[in-house]
Amino acid sequence: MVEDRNRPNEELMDELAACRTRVEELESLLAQVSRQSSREYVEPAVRRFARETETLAEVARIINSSLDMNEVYERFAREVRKVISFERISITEIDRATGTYRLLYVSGKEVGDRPPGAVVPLRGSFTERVAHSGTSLLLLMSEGDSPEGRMPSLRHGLEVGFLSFIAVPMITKGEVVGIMHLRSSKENAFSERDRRLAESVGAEIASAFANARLYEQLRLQTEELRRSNAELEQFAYVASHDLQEPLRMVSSYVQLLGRRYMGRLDSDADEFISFAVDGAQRMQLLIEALLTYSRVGTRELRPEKTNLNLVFDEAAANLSMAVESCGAAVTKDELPTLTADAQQMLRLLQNLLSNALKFRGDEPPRIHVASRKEGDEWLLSVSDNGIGIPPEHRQRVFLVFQRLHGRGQYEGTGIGLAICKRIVERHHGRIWIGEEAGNGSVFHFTLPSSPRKGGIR
Amino acid sequence: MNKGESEPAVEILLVEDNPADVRLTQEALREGKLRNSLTVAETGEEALAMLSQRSPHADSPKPDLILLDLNLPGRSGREVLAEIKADRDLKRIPVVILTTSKAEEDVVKSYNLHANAYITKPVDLDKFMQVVRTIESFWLNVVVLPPQ
Repeated sequence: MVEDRNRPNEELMDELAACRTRVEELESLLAQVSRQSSREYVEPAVRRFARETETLAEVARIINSSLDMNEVYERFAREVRKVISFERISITEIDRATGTYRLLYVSGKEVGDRPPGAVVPLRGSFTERVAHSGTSLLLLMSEGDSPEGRMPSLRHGLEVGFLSFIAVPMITKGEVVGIMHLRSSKENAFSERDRRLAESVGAEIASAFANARLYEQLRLQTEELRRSNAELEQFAYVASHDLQEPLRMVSSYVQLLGRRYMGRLDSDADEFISFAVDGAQRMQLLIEALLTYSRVGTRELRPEKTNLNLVFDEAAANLSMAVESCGAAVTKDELPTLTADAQQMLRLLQNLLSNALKFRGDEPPRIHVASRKEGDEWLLSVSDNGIGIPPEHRQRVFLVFQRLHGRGQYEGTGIGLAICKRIVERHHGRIWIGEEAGNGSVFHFTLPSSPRKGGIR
Repeated sequence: MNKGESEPAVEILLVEDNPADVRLTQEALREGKLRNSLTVAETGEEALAMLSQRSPHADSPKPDLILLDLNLPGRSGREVLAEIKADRDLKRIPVVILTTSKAEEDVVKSYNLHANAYITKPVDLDKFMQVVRTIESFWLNVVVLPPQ
């Protein structure tokens, strides 16, 4: 059973179903022999087999239903108790780095210096032996047995009156991560069959254990990410807000210098002043862009039924000057109505449209917004016949302040697409640049067709 | 709408701790058309002492208009505003909040404390100049103020 520890639960379920069929067969056999004298022997065996099958099924269900380890242990113990009568169960976790093991869970007869949470040296322990061999162990002693020469932890067990022991390894990725112990003060309390059963339960605990560890790791990482993200956002906001004050002074005074002294000093001075004015203005644009970007991330979203056709109309109206001046044709499919923050949808569509207008080729721009339902998402695409984006830059354009062109060619701070990405991701969607044959580029983004559980981020 | 030289200069009290900002406002007013006399208070305490003509500001002029920054060292602009608007003699003087804050909270609180106008300082110099001149011409030229 140990080598099967990583088997998916579905497979286990299949096997259990097969077991149940066998139980049914046995039960019908029992019905046949029930009139005979052998009944007293057969019936308990069948009942027992049925109970064991149920136990394994229950154990598999526990793993799938709970990630709270203490609850998992609790329920394991309860299930095992139904088929094996023990007096104490303990589940330990091995820490090879410190050469110790820790009692994660204990139930049943108390042992003075082994309460839950106790950390015990691995050396010379029962746990060490099982951990080393990787196989389960059944140990039966008699009342008069002397503990002399036995390993210390077994001696310890004998001293508190235990005579029957089962120890099974919990193995994850080929490594023994812990041991489950069953103990009884009765002689011959456990059988070989009990050991095998305990072994399969141990394998299940191991996989629950691995799940829980993974989940806990993930949870911590997510928490950490969320925290550092919030911190960064706060930082960006504060930094850009506080930077604005001194910059306003620099910018105002160089502008004032320009107003008063342009043409009254020499040509060098004029040039210096205009570079300073230009730099300050540019920095202002960047700071404002950064503030906008951080607000897109921090402002609380107001999800509401949003008709993207109306949002499109508004975006197109806001851009009408640019549309008319370059003779662009901006068209759309019938767009969906979905739950989203209307203001951010407007910003998203407007940014994409304005991008398509800005990076136009020699031809008058033709821009189209398409939409298609894909599973539980809407896929929207904004395509144009503009200058396109080389494949090697298709990831980069979504980063803050990333620009592919010189300032002389195209204006802008390089924040527009970063904002688009942020808006789409806050709405649980994805945004990317499609492979477009021929000229132009196409931006795809998805939005869930119905609000996600837990709402918009 | 140029006022005659014979008319007394309008008195403006500017409450602002940043000297660069003070100078900028002075420059903007200088480019304006009205004859004005600007008094500057660098803190809220100083502004209130000037307004109530407490020593050493016993001969401070009563302003026709107050330009008030919200972020001041010590007593905040908000506290100064509240005190002015709670004072029988001072509450008639129009107070224009002139600040860098665009926060909705600041806007609402200021009006709740009876600010007469709330203006966010434009970052661009030309716009700033324009705003100062607009304040000047509106409050000192367009509106009718109570007699001193």
